[in-house]
Amino acid sequence: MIIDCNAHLGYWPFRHVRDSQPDEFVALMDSRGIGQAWVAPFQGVLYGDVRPANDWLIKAIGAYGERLIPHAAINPNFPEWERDFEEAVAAGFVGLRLYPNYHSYELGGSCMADALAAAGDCGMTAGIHLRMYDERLHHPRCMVPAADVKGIGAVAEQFAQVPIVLCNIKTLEIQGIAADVRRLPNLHVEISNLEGVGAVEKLVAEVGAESVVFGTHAPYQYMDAALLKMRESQLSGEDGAAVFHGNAARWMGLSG
Amino acid sequence: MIVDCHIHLYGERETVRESVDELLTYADRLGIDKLIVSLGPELCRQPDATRIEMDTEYVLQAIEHAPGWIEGLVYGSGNHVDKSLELMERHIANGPLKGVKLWCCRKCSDAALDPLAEYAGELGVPILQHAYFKGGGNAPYETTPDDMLVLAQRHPDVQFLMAHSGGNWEKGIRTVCRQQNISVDVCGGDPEAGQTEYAVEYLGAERVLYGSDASGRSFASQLGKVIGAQITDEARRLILGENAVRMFRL
Repeated sequence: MIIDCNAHLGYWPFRHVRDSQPDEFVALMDSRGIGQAWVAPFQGVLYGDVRPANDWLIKAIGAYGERLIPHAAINPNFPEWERDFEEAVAAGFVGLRLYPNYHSYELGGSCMADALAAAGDCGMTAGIHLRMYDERLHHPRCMVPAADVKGIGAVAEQFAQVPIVLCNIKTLEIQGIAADVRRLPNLHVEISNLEGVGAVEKLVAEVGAESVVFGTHAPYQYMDAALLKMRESQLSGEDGAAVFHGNAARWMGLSG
Repeated sequence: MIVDCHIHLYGERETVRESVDELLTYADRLGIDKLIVSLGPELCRQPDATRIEMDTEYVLQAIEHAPGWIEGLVYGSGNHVDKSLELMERHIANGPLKGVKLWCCRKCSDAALDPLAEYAGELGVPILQHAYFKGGGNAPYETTPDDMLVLAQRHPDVQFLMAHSGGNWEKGIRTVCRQQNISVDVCGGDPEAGQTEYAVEYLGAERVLYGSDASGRSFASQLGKVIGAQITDEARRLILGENAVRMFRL
């Protein structure tokens, strides 16, 4: 079974994104052979109070509990965020999504540490989005630079029990943290924004298959792009299985 | 047939042969049949006359190494019109190159580009022009789709291929949609869902071409824009290869 570790549902503010409702998205998954997707609400990126975004998601995916695994948008730089987190846990979310560039905090700072501590206490995975889309295409009145990945090594080491996925990371950004990714078993990179020919096989050679996970960033991006990246790269059966689902499935076990 | 109309050979490989072999290895895994190559082993936004000649010869070396797989374009520059025209005569009129690549030497709306466009029209070959609308502002001399439109309106009998669908593809595609001698390629941006459908809606499938911008981009991420698009099979065939075969006379 293929597990997509980076998907969103709901409403994106800057353009229409099709297939962003649960029925549509599950149909898309079926058409492409994706068994399970970890989904977060688009609205959580720009809302101040993220609770309505998370509430919307958990209600919307109700009928697809086996296919759509809910991840809560959490902003640890917003007052009383701990309450949002507790409500998300109670509502059945099994992972967090963090947007440090949109929510204005550093990967190596105290907000991130607080969020990862909370995730660790509840056995949650944490997806950290370095960006949501190409900075060159941002609305001219809403330019949001990507998060600086520097500092993730120390914080990932501090919270070694929390499986961390760096989402929407670019190939060049990985080069600066490759040693940390190799060294820390809980730190992983997701492939949806990797570029360069043969990017996945080159990454696996550099950091090891156990550190790489499959993600599409669908429906914002074409699901086929990530699937074709896996075909463009030539991985062993064992490595391919680890990237497509094994690593993610292992964390699901870790997180109960 | 799948033709990738937007390829560069820069990267970590030391020789043109190694660069071509690496690209063909990955292209073959995805069923891509032909690569149209432009520019040289290193990206140079403001090349001198010697440099555009060297980069064009680099493309010729790639073709020589893998004939049938590789096609190529002259690197043209509005800053070096005489040299550009010379290269067009030497390598397009006499073969084997199939068109002209313009990058960031000058905005293409600049009248300095007119002699190149006129000669491309005489030769019946297209001009591939980098074009981008960037939210944070373009680099100096970097062409926008607005510039592309100006040049194409001045030369209605020349075929232009606007790279990257203009970057901000909703705005870029709308900017040029009424100008029938502008087609677009889909390459060079993240694989944002909806881009290809949008291009087909506004331009028609006959004016949309698959390209990747490899080796900086992967073939796969850009091919996914076409394979994943909700368009007819006929439209997909046109975009993947038939339009390129017609435009570049392959």
